[in-house]
Amino acid sequence: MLENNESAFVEFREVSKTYDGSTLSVQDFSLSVARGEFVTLLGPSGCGKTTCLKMLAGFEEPTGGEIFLNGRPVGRVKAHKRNIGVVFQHYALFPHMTIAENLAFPLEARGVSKDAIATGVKRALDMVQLGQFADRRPAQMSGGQQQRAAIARALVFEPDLVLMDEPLGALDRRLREDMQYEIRRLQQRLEVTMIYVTHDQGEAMVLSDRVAVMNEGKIQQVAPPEVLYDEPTTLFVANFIGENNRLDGQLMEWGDDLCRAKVHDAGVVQAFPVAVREGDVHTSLTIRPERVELNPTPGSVANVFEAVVRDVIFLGDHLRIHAELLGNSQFIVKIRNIVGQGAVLPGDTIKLGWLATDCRALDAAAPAESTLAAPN
Amino acid sequence: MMGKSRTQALLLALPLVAFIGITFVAPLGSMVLRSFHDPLVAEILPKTVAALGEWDGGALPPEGVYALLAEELKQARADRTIGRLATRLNRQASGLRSVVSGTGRRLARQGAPPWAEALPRMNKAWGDPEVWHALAQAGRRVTPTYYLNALDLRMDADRGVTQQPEAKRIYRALFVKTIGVSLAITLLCLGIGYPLAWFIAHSPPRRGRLLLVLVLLPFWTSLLVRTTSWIVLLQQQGVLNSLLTWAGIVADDQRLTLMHNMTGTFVAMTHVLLPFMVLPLYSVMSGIQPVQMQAASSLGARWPRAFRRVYLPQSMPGVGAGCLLVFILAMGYYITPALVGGQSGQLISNFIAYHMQTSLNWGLAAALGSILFVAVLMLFLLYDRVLGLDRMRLGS
Ligand SMILES: Nc1ncnc2c1ncn2[C@@H]1O[C@H](COP(=O)(O)OP(=O)(O)O)[C@@H](O)[C@H]1O
Ligand SMILES: [Mg+2]
Repeated sequence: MLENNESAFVEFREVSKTYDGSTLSVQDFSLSVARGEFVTLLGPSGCGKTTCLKMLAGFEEPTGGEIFLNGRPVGRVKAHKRNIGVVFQHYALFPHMTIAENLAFPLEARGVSKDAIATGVKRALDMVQLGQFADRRPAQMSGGQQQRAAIARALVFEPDLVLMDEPLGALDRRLREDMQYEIRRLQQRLEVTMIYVTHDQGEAMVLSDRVAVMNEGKIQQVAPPEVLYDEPTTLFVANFIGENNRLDGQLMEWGDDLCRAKVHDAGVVQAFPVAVREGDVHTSLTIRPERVELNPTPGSVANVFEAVVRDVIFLGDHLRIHAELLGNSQFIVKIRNIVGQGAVLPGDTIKLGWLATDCRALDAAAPAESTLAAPN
Repeated sequence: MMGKSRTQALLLALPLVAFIGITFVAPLGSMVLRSFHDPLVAEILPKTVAALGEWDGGALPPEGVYALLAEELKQARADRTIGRLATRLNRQASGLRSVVSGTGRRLARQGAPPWAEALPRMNKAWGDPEVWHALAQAGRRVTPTYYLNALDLRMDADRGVTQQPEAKRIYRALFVKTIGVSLAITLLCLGIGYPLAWFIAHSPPRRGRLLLVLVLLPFWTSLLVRTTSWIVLLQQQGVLNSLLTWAGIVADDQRLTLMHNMTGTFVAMTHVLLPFMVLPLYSVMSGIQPVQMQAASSLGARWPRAFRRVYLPQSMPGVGAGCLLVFILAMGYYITPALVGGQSGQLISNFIAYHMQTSLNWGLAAALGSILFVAVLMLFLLYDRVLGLDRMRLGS
């Protein structure tokens, strides 16, 4: 008990899970969530996010490790005793009940009096603006309304912890953005602790206090959104969050805050060593497209290379240049559209430069490119 | 355009209509017709029957009717139709078979008017007004006799419709028994089939498929083979009794009678009809997402409450379909009770088959069949009223 993190309301401690006895769907999963915090599990589909929620909710048992809720291990606590509100991926509203009956269900299970149920249901429905839909069945409502009903049902019994599994996955974009805002507002107003699952990085960024990026059952990095973007610690995160350019190189020199790597047998790139250690040979260097400067003032940046322009796309507030640089034929540069910037045309040879601190030396890409599969 | 395409559609549907007409409506119609339409007596004794129609129903018919009967009986004997006539009249009032055939034989050799005296001399039954009433009844082309018989009733000359004598009342009790047995078998099938279907529907896909094949396996085996295998298992020298005796649970001279009685009918019919319960249940249950039960438990419901409030209501369409199917099939089943039911395990269908094949009383068979049909139809409508046929699902 004493070794528990005092402020952790939910804690996964080295949890792992296998369904078939051989492949680990979740591996060495450790995560602490403070009371009132909004934490998102973000990762491509199949990476084990739902499995984590199911273990926390009590639908699946961890194969290894332990989960703590409010400082107590929950291994022996049955799902119906955990008092966790869950919003399922496909809503899981009860189709044979009206919305009001759906919302009354958890209150009835808790033996709440009839009057209290009626007021509780009404309040929860008003909270998600579904007041006039109380007597409809789920099949008679739109996807967005069903979604709100599912959220109301998970909140109506006032749980301390709410889990949501890709709740907005089936909605169109406009609705999704409205709902994101609504979910965040509700979470802050009710001060519930939220663990939210999505494969949409934008959603994770908008909603969360902290994001845990997962891949293949493992946590890659847990950090607030802006840190994830600016300071990814693994190649997976660097590629998964936002856009990034990647240069694969061989480490030549290694230091505490600077390293040098040879790329494409041509150039030596100076970078900030994030996930490389002395003795490593291969590394992947990443540079955000907006941190690359066109025709930098000589001496102002450590890295300057020549590139051949392949394509220029005009996007109003900025230009997007696709160029070939140090063997990377898809090197992307975003340049603010400022008057006076010389015109760039396909076929031109230009100079591109960036700071050593903007170039992060991360773990080497696996030989097969599969881990870099685009997020979906 | 519209009219043309409609005509076309109707023409295209014509073979279907014809098919349904030939295979469904026509046989059913002719069966129902047979249960109340019986022209046999009116065709063999047309003049007698016509004359009896004028008869006031007093003491005895006049000489003219006697004369016509004598003439037509002679003719019937010559045409060799008198046997059928005797059988038919015997159903109207037992004993008439020998009266008719005996009188026919004598008429061929002797007899002269006045017939009103000659006939009662040949057989004194002809002096009994009851017999003439029976003849008049039988002469009607449209007759309630079969329905009355099927309901253990008969028509008396003076008292109108009355109960059959105690010893001859069988069908009403049999209908009640058939309904009771069918209900019990339906409940048994539901009790076994529901957990089984649950288990199959929520098994991992591979195991689920395997189990489903096992449930379907009986469909690929002849019904006779399945029923016979129950005989092997259940008879007094059969596998089950031998096992029980071997284990010392039952003494050798006290082997259980598990078949040729109601037990046999129950066991074998439950087995034969179980797939019809499991299949609709399975198809409905496999459409119920496991996440529904997870949602219920995450909302604080223990398993019994979750089952009662969330799972059971969603599986009801399958329960309804399965029960209706099994019940209707059980009402009409006859091979299995015939083979393993013995004397006490016979149901209404066995008697229908008996009258079809052995006693050749097709009219009664048709009346019993029509009553069964109407009973099933009414239960079907009741089901529709209570549960709604549109909610019934055989597939998801
Ligand atoms: N019930 C299950 N049985 C077997 N394997 C499962 C089961 N549920 C999930 N998996 C496997 O576990 C991995 C993680 O699944 P999941 O947690 O659903 O991923 P996510 O929610 O991130 O898409 C996947 O490879 C999936 O195939
Ligand atoms: Mg998932």
